Amino acid sequence: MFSKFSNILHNAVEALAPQLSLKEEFVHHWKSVTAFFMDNKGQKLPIDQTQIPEHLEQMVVLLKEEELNAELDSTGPCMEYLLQHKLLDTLYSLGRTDHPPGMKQIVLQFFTKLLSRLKQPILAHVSVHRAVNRLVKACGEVQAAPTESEEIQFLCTVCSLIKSTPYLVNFFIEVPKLNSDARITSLTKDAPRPETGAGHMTQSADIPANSPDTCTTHSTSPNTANGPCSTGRNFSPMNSLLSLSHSADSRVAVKACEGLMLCSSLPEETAALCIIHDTRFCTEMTQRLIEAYLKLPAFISPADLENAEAKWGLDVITESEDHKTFLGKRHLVSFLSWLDYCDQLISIANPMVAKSLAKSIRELFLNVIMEPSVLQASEAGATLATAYLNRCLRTVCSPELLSEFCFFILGHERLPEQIGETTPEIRHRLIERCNHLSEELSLVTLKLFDTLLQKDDEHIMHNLVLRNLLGRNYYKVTPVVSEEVNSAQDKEDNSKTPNDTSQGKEDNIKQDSKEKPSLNRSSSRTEVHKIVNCFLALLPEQLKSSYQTADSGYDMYLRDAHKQFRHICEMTDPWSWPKEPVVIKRFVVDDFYEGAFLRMLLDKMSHLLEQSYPVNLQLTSVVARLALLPHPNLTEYLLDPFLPVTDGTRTLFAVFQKLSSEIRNKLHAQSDLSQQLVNVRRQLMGTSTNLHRKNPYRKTTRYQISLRPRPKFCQGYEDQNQLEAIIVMEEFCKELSAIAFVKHHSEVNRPS
Amino acid sequence: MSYAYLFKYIIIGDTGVGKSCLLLQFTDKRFQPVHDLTIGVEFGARMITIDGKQIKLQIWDTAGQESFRSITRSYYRGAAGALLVYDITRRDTFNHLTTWLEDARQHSNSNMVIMLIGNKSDLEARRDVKKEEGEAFAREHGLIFMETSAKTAANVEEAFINTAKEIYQKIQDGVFDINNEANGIKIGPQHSPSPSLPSSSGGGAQGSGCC
Repeated sequence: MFSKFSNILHNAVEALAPQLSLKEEFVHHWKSVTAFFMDNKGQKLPIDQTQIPEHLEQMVVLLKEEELNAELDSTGPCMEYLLQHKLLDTLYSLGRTDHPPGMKQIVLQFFTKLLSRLKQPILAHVSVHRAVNRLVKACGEVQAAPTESEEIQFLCTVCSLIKSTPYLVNFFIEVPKLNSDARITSLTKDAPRPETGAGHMTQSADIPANSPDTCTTHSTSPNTANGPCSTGRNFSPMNSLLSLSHSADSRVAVKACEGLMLCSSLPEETAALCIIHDTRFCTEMTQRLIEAYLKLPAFISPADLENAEAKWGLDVITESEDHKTFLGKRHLVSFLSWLDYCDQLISIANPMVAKSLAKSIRELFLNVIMEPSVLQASEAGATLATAYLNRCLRTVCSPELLSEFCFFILGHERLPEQIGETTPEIRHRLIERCNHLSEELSLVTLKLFDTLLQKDDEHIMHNLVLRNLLGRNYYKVTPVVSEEVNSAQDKEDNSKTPNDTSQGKEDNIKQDSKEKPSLNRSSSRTEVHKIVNCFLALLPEQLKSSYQTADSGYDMYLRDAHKQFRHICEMTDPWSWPKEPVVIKRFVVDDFYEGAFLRMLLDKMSHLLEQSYPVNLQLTSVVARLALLPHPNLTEYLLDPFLPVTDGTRTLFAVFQKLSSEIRNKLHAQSDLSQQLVNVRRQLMGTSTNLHRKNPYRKTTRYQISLRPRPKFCQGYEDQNQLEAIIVMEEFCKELSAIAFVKHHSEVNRPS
Repeated sequence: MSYAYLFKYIIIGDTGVGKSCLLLQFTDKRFQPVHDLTIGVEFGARMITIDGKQIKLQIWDTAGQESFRSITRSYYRGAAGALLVYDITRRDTFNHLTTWLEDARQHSNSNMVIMLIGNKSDLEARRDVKKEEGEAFAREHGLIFMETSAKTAANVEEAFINTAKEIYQKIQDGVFDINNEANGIKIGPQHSPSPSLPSSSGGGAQGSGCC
């Protein structure tokens, strides 16, 4: 009632006195606000029954109007009044008391509008940023406060301004005086602050700049418990955002996370150091990851885990959905999206902050929680933990965090591995487990390595395989003239050195095939066909079942191999791998050892016939990933059947040959083997078509054959596994042939 | 309320082109002439019907300011559709489309449907970008195109619904793997684990998307 009346009155005044200047009008509104507090002392009228919101809104409108009419870079009389009379300080105090009830909300909105609507850089004014910083500190004080959404709006507005003008951040980092009393008080909310009055603006901007190296250890505040380098500085927006990121209102929480991203991605070193050393940021981010991890379901099907997707910020899952899919999905989604958030944050954060958060995740989550989980004695527990680790690895993409994951799993070692090395323990145990009696455990561990080999980190490839191949110790140096190398090429001049790649491709090819008669990187077209044929001829024709079931030869793998190879090359390009096989001194050893990982893979390959179908599929998938890597040493070691090797060196092809003769022997024993193979293949293919669309394993299904357990088909045969293994071998030979072909093709076409 | 599918959208484009107003018009059927800057991501949802099926649209309205740019990138990843908006009265917002598009293409899944929207078509007198230019840009980059007015509501429904239709068609054609939630599509609770694809329009059985 009263408000209506005063509105009319106000409008009447405006109508009667149109000549009122902007400033007069502005002051009128402000006086109306202050008058309320003079007149209504003690009254508990809720804010929306007063005129205050309207007056404050009008003040913003007037300031905007003034700005639109004014020249650039000039401060108009309204703004001058606002600055001179410290209106913001007053408003802050009024908001702080939340009197009348709801005042805090109105003040927050006023500040937000002021900062976001005006184009002039007012935040640099001491009377603005001082009040803003005080209000920032008043945000997130109370959990689930009714003003949460206004608080987050205000905070993000401030962060957005800081992000676009990063030096402003210095106004929000408070440096305590060097005696400890001052330090404590400066961290207490309403204590007198170190910088007061104008002229301190520059000072407050200067102080932080010289503080990074003045590390003091005598920190007393809980805020400073984070790093040894803590200087007791206070970065208020960060602290308020951290509080609000816990909000039960997901919209508020997501915005708080965005605000944290803005703050942590500031280029200012001062801000980065302050975040690292003086806020709980890194530990809190990690702590929440751990909390979410500990809530993960204790039972989850591999398929559910594989299929679960969660991207930070977008995935909201309700409890009802939880019951419709699988129990615990909600927890899985919230864990994965928090991990994704950390990963995204690290990828855009200031490099120092990124490193520090990644390190904190490594130390507090991976080392403390994940390692014992993965290494536990319980098979079921270890399987689950490994599956979770694998799923984490799939999510992680930011270089810093990925690198920590890799170091965690593989260790830092880069020099050649010795036989019998058992450190780092986790790497050693994981490789060992690929051979575990529990099929589930070996499968999930192989899958982890499969994932590792797809990640964009050079250390993985180097640590797992390359460090034992870069010395080229497997290679037998005595030049042997190969049997059927084109005689025409033999006559060519071969004075060039093997590593001379500056020549035209044609020359290179000829020279190489002469120098190293075995099939080489730049081998000619006929040579690659020889390799392909070698792999394809491993199984006798009678044991190839694919022709009978209308599958074609290796060409069906070409497209896939080509696509994957191109993708892998994009990843490995920056690692500047050599184009020709190299011998690097520090990797040269007395006796060749392929390293624990390759040894395990070759061992397992040689046991193909005794292993289950799913294990064989997973195994061949891992080997194929290695074979695709465009490193010349690895390529020749895995894919060159003609490579002259030193005594005791086992190559993939040699393993295949042994397998092949084993299978041939079986053929003699079992006359109807070919027909049985065809039947088993039909059966595998059959199940596969049925399951094609819904089968959650589809992504990992290799050779278009299903992984589902199927009824035993061949009653007469002791173990259907063997038949399936022969089919896997047939398909794998085709796949390797395709890979060899694609790699060769890309070399020939490589711009030299 | 139950739905057959849920599609996730994001709205992107320069600050001040009317992204939030488009969303408000679509979800609440109203127009707010004075709209403060969107700070951080906002969210809206509405149910629509396509081909007799209930589809829930979850829409993320992003902040247009430069400072939020790197954060916006992380939202592309889980979206099935994007509305890329410019303001027909401000040429600079049209000129920035290439950058937005590059960003979107680089960070989204390759099947994401992008709808180009020239907003504020009610301000014909202040038009700075010809409709033909919008059309040409869309053609060149393989986008769907529409001019809308969040103020008069012209074409607003159509913009959101046509994007959904395109996504729906891609599901029919087997381009989108609906089991992969990373594509920004979820199967509704009523649909639960039934393996069969929506069978209405041909494409299902051929399975062009497999292997």
